[in-house]
Amino acid sequence: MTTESAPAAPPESPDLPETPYILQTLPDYEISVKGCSPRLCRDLDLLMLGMESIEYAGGEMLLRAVSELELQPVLGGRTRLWRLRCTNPWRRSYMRRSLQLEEAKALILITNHRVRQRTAAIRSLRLAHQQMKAKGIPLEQNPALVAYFRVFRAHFRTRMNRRRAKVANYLQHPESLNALALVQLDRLLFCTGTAGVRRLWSSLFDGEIRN
Amino acid sequence: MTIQRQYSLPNCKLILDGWSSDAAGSGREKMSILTHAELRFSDPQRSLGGGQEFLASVVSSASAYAQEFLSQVRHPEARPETPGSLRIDKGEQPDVHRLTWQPKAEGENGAVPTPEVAIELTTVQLFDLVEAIDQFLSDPDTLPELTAELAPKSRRDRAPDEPLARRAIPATIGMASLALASVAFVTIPAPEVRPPDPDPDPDPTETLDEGSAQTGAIATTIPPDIEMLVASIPPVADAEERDRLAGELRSRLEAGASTEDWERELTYRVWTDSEGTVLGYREISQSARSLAEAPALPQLIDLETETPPERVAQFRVTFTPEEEIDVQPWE
Repeated sequence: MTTESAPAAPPESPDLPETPYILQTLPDYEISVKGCSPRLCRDLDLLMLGMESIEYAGGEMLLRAVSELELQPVLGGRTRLWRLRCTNPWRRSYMRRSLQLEEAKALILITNHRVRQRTAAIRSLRLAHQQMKAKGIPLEQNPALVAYFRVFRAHFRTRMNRRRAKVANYLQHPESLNALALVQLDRLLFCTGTAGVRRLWSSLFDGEIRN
Repeated sequence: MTIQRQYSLPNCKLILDGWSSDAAGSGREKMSILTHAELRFSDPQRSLGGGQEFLASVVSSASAYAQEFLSQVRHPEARPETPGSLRIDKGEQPDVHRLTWQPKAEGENGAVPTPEVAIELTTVQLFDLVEAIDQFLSDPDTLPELTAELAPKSRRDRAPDEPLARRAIPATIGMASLALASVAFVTIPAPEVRPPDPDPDPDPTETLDEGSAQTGAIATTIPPDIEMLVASIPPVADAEERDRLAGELRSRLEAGASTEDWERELTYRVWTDSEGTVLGYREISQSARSLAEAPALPQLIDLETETPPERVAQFRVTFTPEEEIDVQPWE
């Protein structure tokens, strides 16, 4: 009877943490070694803020998406996720660090995961806004729309640093903050599409690629 | 055998007629040749159609415009100059997108040119158009060789920064709060003024701070005599050249400032030669920073130039709290 020894581990396979496969569904773009630009971190945080404002307990739903997509290796848990979103320079608890490419991918993928669950609601909100504006009907007559803008403004007020000039400007002019909320709703609408998350991902890097 | 494929959205339908070049096999037939493409909008009812060129134009323009809409960075492919192309542009109102198409005249001899088609789309209708196209592009059995690459635009393609009037708003807010702070500071006793202590053995590699100690006063520019030096040198006259230098300066500042941050807006007047080498600068904003603490600039300045420059360019450099750097020719 021969004794078989266990095959020796091939020398070229170091003990690396596994990169979740889902991250490969989005292309890598060339960015600085420091990571994504502050502008990108901000745009991504605002998009997520939009998604949070669409549904009840939106923040918890995004956190749940981390485990549903098995992205804990990249996004960790509640605290780590919050820290990554605080790479947005407008935040009160701004972390003076940038998102790495993998982290940005993971954040947009959990957002996309929620978008897929709420596609009908997103389209319905956007359509309602357009139709009411076109007919001159006050938006107050649509409770879902009122809720979206109200929640967005409330989160913005509690999370963002009012000492930053642009943040202060938004806080002083609620109409401009509503307009910012509408921009996020538009981006979420496009995210519901067949190529939605890829379009959004690419758009985050517009004007950022070094040539 | 002719094939028709439809990609239907509530506001927009893409209808493709063509045929397969393969012999009939099992499963869904591959449409490899297009005979006609139609784009049908429902509200109001409008229809556009054409062949392969038309379809390629629709795909390219709509895809580019969608990216432009998402990032607000210009994608000129949405508005090609070639005749017979479909163009999409922003409308006058926020929720309006203008689609225009000038069909190519069919015949050559005195054929009546078809009038230009212009359609105004809402954002939801725009989405439906882009989605119909994306559904077609993701269909492996229909014209698989027609694709739309999503390539982000580079830094060069980023739109020029906000006009000065709008950017002045945070500065005026800053000025107002500075005025308020000044009133508060009147109550604090003035610090004791001591004469500066000149270094008896100056280091041959001068630091910028030692330079100011030798003049016995707080320098307002680096180097202190830059304004006198450049007074007799002609400026870079060509506007395009100035813009090019501005772009280069901005790139070099971004590279140099990548490890720094600035909590409030900082503005500097910067002098460079015609190669873009920084000759000197002064601060325009009123911060507590010394000139040596300016972001990026101290590392770029060249104080060792032996021959005076032939031409000088001046720029207004603003470091905004969003970690952005704006460089404009000095007016």
